[in-house]
Amino acid sequence: MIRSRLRLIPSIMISILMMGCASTYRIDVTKTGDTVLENPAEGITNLRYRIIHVANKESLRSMVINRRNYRLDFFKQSKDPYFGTNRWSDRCIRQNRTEELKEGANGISFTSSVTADAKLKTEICVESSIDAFQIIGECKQTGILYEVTMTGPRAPNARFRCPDALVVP
Amino acid sequence: MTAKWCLALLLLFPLFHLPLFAHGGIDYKTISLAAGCRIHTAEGVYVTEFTGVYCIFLPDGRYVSANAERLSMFNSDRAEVWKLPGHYHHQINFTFDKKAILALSSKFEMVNGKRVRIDLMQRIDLNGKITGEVTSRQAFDKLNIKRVQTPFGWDVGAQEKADYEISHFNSLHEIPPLKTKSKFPGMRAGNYIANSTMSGAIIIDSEFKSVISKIEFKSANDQSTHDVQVMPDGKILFLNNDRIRDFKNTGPRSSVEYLDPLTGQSTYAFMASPPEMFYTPFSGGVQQVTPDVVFISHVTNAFFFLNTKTRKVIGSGVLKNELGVPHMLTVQQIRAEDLREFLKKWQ
Repeated sequence: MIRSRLRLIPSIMISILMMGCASTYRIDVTKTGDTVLENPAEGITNLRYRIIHVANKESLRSMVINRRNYRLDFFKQSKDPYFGTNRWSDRCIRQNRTEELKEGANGISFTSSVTADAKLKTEICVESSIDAFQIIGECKQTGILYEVTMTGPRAPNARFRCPDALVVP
Repeated sequence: MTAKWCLALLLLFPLFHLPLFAHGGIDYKTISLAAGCRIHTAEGVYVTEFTGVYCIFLPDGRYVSANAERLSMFNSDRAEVWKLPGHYHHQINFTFDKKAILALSSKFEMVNGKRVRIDLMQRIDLNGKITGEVTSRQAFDKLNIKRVQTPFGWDVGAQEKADYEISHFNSLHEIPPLKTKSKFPGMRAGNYIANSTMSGAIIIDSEFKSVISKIEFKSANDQSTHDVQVMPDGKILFLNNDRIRDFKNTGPRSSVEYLDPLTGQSTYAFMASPPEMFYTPFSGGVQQVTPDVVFISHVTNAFFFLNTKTRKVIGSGVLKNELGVPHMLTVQQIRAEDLREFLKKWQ
């Protein structure tokens, strides 16, 4: 019994160390519309977020799923019906990758690597697009949908923690 | 001399900075140009795009999207509200009340051991229910239309293949209220007009169950026409892709015409000068945007506004992609419309 608990000590310590290194940025979940920020947290160069309040829990869940499906459909390679040219370049297809839905205690979410314009608007891919990282998910308890898009060296590891924290390890 | 040049440049300077369209009684700031699912400003600058190849938009943020695999309704929450699987092609339109969708689809059947593509004209309500269907086979049999069978290889996205097609429908519109009663069979508000290259146009009844009459385009080689629509005066506006030439040793040309269906003669025809300057061998579109102005699009994504009274082009351009260079994607036709309410819902 004691041995098994002792085994847990290294992993607990690692977790504590990681938490110590992580920075947390509080998202203002009362704001409506898009918020764009520069250097909000260490390792995050640009941040854009949008919070949508949804009272109905089922609707909230389906809104997250819809966003993922739409993104997958948007960057599905297609050919021009008459000339047969590809709609998207290889870079667009490579960079716009959407991960599987994850179910957590606070609801579902998914992450994507994306291309974005200078204001971090996504669903666009041109030569001048920048590579960014996006998290979309729900906080069931508070009834919000969050869309967080960011750039910076730590952006791929950032996570949203309900009800309002962007945690950057 | 220098002062004169400066004065001349000062006088000319505003000309170069005038908005692209300075005439025509149209507020171009309110107009977007929709090329399928890609939206541009009236000057052709890329704004945004949506999933699909052919799209039509509603002010409440919903849009209908079609491609070679399906026809779907999306809402501004990015939800696919419903989907009809099928091969959709060329164009989709709303009825005038925007309560139904007019779509061109396909049926694939075995005929004498060959796989054949047959056009399927559909009316669909906004809940995705098909409320009327007419096939090209049914129409051609009833109206005694004979068409040359041609290979079906023009849609690389099509999942189903066919040895040949019996028709090539490319436009479907509702007939608007007419100012005066027309004597032409079926030419009345609420019926529909559908067009096929090499076989002409047909009129479909308001129930969308049967066909009433046919219209031939004598001024077009092989009846190569697009975007055939009825105007409130009962004339038929259409894009003639390959206008029959009346003299030798000149190049092919396209034209925009108003056809009187009773006489079979065009009452007005626009051609470029020289005529070969406007030639869209396939695709292309035409749209009456005001009583005096038509909007014309070319397969190469070029477009222009034409004042039919003065016979002058009052604005022109070419659609550009996200990089600011002309699109390398085909366009069946471009539509000039006010999409401000729709786009607001997608901000």
